[in-house]
Amino acid sequence: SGLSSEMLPGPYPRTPEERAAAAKKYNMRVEDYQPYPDDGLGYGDYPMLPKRSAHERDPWYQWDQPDMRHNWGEPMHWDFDMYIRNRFDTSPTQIPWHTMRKHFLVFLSTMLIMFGIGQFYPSYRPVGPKQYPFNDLYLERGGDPNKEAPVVTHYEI
Amino acid sequence: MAAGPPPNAAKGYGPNQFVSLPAELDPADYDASPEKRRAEAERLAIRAQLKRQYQLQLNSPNPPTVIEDPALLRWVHAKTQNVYPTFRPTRQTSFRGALFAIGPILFWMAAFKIERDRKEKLIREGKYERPFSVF
Repeated sequence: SGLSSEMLPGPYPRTPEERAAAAKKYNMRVEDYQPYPDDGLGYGDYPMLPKRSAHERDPWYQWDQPDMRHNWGEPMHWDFDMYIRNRFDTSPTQIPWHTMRKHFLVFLSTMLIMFGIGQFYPSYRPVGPKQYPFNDLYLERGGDPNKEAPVVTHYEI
Repeated sequence: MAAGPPPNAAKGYGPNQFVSLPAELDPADYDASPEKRRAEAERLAIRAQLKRQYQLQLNSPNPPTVIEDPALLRWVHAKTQNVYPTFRPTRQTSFRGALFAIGPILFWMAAFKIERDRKEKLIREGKYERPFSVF
């Protein structure tokens, strides 16, 4: 790439000068720039942007990249590839989230419980063993044709 | 029995880790204090500068083959090459590393060993009927 090492991400900024330089590097205001907490997880000085998906961005604005709804040089979220429009959508829902979750869980648990009960206590019409003709298919099952077949009757008169 | 008063909209539609707050319910959206306006103006200035740089490259008489996006390059670099230099073994990271990286290996080693030993014992005792199947 054509970027010098000052323009690439680096370690966590410790002094205010480093923070200002990092904010300038990422094209952000110094007040807006907030790096991830220094927990040693590997974020470095990458800014922590609000977790908003691409669905929430203005669909009518002339973005430089309309499919990503992203402008040239704008700092990208760490999970940018999760927040594209094919994937995770954080836009506010029409129905409150906990209502949707409650309805979904009620439906799912009801269905699972009914299926579970049906597994252990199956319910079907009475059945009996299958009855085959010709003395329970004596010859077809390899019985000796010279011997007398055991007579099997499936009826009672 | 009549229903009680409808629940507070802000409580119902509040943000959680899956959805964000609607702009209509956000009080910060309604204040137009001078500080906020100055901040918005500064952000707009940065955005306009970036837009200008991009448009100059896009509409120049000899446009480059590929207009590199430094934000994209920084993002890629941060996620691939900047993780190892900035990683630091702390209590949290060591615990997570042990749980998710070493744990499954040890678990599956133990699981397979126990399963194989059990089957071997059954075969030795003659209790296990080996299935004769190509599948």
